[in-house]
Amino acid sequence: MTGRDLDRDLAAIGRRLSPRLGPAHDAVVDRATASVGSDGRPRPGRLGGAILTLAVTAAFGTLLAVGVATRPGPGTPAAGGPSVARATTTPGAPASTDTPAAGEAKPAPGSGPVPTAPAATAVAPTPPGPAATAAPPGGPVLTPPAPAGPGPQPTAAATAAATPTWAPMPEHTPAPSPATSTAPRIAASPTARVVLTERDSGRTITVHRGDVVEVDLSSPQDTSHWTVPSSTDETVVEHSSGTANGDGSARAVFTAPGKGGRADIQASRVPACATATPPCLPPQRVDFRVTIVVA
Amino acid sequence: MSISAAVAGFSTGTAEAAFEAVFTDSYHRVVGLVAAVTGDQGLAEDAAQEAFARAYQRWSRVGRLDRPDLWVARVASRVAIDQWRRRRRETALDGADRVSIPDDVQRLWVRWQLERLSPMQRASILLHCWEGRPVAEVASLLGRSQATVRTHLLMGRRRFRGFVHEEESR
Repeated sequence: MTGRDLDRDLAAIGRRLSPRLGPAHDAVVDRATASVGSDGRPRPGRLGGAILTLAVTAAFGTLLAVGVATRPGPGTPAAGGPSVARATTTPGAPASTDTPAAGEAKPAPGSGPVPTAPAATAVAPTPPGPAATAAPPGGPVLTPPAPAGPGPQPTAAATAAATPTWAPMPEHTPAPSPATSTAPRIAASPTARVVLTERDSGRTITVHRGDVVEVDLSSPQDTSHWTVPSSTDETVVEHSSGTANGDGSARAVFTAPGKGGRADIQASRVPACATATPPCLPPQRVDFRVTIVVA
Repeated sequence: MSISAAVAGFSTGTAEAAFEAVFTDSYHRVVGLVAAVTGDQGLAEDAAQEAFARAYQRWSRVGRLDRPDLWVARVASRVAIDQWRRRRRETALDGADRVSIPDDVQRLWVRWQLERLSPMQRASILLHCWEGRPVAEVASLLGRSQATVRTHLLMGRRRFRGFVHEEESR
């Protein structure tokens, strides 16, 4: 008995069990291509998908780092860009909530809301190119206000050009419209919109009269919930609207009606027992506070 | 077309043609091998086609092997053994009868004294005997250690001896 005999026996059995090669070949090809994408390349498995996700994340991080590193400083305005947002931060704010986490990209000097020098408020120029779409690693997000009225909407290009480097908040940018406009509508509307989150707590933001300040506090990880943010001086920063949601998050919109000065926007995180029956007495504290300076 | 010619065809011709050559040359043997390993007629065709489908998807790598048919045989054997174990558990739970073993497979088992062996032992012996593959290569083909394959071969031989003793005592 030799291997050749075995080889012949196995082939004979196989030939009897699956006599027709053509249909078998078609079945094999169908089975192989069933798990292959339309482009002819095998679809990534779980590991392949994870590697793809990591690669995309790394690429995004690289673009983000490049965008941050290439931001122009406050003294180097880019040519041709309109000035739109003027919110600034004052140095000396508590660093606990502003300190980037380990591995997080640190904003370049002059990036983010520009620290307010006592003498002047820096105006952030709009840089050209892809840096205009880079997300800020931290700090409040400023976007131009939505255009009002039935007039022509700004195009996507105009919107991108009007968005400051550190203010790429796409959900607040005007939606692209088939109607075209040669001039960015933002140029005719000098107000800006500042979006603050709990990460901005402790900062001091300088805005101008008429600007809109939006506070968006996300749902806490524990069972506590945010109170509706409020202003300590309604004559300086006026509360326009606000809600506390069932998931613990809270949102409020403020405007700077016209009077200059300082006011705090603050909110507290209240434990769940505070709304129980009987309620507990939570400590009186402020978990979110941003000082608004209306110039 | 021989395997070596098919592999040569891969380097000079299209990958598709090389795959078809290997498929045409070795498909029946792989089906027969799977049937001989598990004794399950239904598994044989399915496991062999699954193995060839995997080879098709990885042909840029598999096609460069010295013996792509052995890679397919290994994958088919493992797929078949896994499915055979799963089916055995299911039939044990259901109390269903065992699958019927084809006559030609039974004849092969008798001829090669494989009747009382487990599928993995059969696979070890068949691949060991198939063109005289050494233990190291069989271990590589089955994805097991050489010690495991040697154990399978030893147990198989012991069972052979027991079988022979039973036969002689009758």
